[in-house]
Amino acid sequence: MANYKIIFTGPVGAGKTTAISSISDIPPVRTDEEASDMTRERKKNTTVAMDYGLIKINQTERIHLYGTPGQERFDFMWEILTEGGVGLILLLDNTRPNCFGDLHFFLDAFKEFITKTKVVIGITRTDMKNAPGIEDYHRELRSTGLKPAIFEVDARKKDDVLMLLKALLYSLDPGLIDNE
Amino acid sequence: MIDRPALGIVTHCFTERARNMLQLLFSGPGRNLYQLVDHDRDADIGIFDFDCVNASTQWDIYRSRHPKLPTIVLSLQDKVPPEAVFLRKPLASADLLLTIEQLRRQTDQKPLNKALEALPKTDLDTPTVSTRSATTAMDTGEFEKDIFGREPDVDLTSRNEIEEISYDPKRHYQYHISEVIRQTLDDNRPRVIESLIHQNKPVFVTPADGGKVFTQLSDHALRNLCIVSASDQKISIRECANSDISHQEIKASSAKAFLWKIALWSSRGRLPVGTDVHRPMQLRHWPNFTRILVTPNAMRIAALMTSRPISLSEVAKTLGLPQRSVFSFFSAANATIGFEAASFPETDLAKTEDRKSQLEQALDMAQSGTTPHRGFLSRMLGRLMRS
Repeated sequence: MANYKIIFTGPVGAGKTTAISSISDIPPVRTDEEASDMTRERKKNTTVAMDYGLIKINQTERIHLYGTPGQERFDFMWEILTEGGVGLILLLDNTRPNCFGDLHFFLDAFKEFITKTKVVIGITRTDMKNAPGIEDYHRELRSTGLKPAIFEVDARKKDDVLMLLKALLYSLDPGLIDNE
Repeated sequence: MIDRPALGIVTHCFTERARNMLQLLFSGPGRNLYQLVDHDRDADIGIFDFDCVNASTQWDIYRSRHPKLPTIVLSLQDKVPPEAVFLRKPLASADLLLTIEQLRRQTDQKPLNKALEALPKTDLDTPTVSTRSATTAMDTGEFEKDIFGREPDVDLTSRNEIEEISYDPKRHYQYHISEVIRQTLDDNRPRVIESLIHQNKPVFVTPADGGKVFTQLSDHALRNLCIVSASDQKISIRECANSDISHQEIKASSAKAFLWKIALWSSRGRLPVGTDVHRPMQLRHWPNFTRILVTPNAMRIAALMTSRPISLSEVAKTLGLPQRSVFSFFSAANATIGFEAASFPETDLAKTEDRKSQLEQALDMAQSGTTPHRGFLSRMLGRLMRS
């Protein structure tokens, strides 16, 4: 059995759990605990360990989807989670007060992993707050030299999440062709 | 008035009444442009009614006599010969005329758009016919031909051949849309754009939310506007008030997404005039693919063109794609995002060599499958495509 891993990360409430649920072939396994700190004000039940989902490619190959906990105090687990990973999907909540701060924080936290693989970025909740816009995110990243795919995403919509996943694969290899 | 012989149109399996109606159309909006002829030898284009008795047999006979005559097939049903251009009945005269114009272009005749000016404006609004071949909308091949056209690859070392597949966005609806969006975002004042063909269905552009477009025009009608020369549309642009926009039954889209599809439909596999297909350039950033019209292989092209400077000719070669799909993508991306030319002069040998090395690596990876996990990634992609 060949197993591969894709990591979903981002701040609390960005939609990591929902996004994994949208595309997982199995009901996602959630490791929830009640938030004990200021996170509680934002979201009562937050994922403090990790989410897990699965996509079955065929009888012998699987993609494991891991969602990182959104709380910084668990950041020691992020490194463990990324070990052997194929790539990173970063979800950012556009309604948060400091979106660019979140952007740089996570890109920095996963810098080594991103250098070895790739990252794509989904901006969620743009229907509730449309600024900053996608162009603004691209502008913000100019100084970093990174040019990841950045899409508006509704984490509840399977098509949106799949589009992000496809962008990740093509980022890894533009020469990919659908090969059943 | 353009001085050229009218295009000869021959009909097959038409009732006398249907032929008379066609005659009426050609003597009205199609006056001096199209002429019904009695004999196949005089025809430039054929129109075949596939709802006649023994249609398949009649078609086989017709095709054996005229294997290459461009032909439009009319029918109530979808089961028509796939090699012909299909128009579903009931027929809208504007769709027939537009289709004839498209076939005329394919036979290297200069398009004449004056026929459209004489049409009643409402004819063009309702997509009562399908101008796609008679396969389902989910058929990627037909969708590709719809968006990219059918032009074969050309010799990219031949200036003449490149010129033949070029178009000037400034002569098309695309330019006006692009300018209106730019002006509206610059001075924060909404505008309305109207055309002779769709006077009752203008396009409103507002500065809100990074630019929004409101219109009652269907995609079908918009595509027709992209085909017709802008000068024949007598486009007018003026400032307006937000209160001028009636939001009932109006479709709203982001200005960028709207311009993206307008540029795609205007290009139809062609290059914006003056594009250097051999010049390395890098796409400024990925398009927002979840919110725009996604064409086949667009993501692959975006992934390659954002990763490093690369020319359009190399993109087509590296990814093994028809030129028209790369050119269409370029047209849309150039109109909405922009490209950066390679930032070092060719005389800087060290960087040139470095770029060549990068490009060779990319070519190797793309063509020989040496990317780590390529097999798995392909299977994973296949799995996602089926989701």
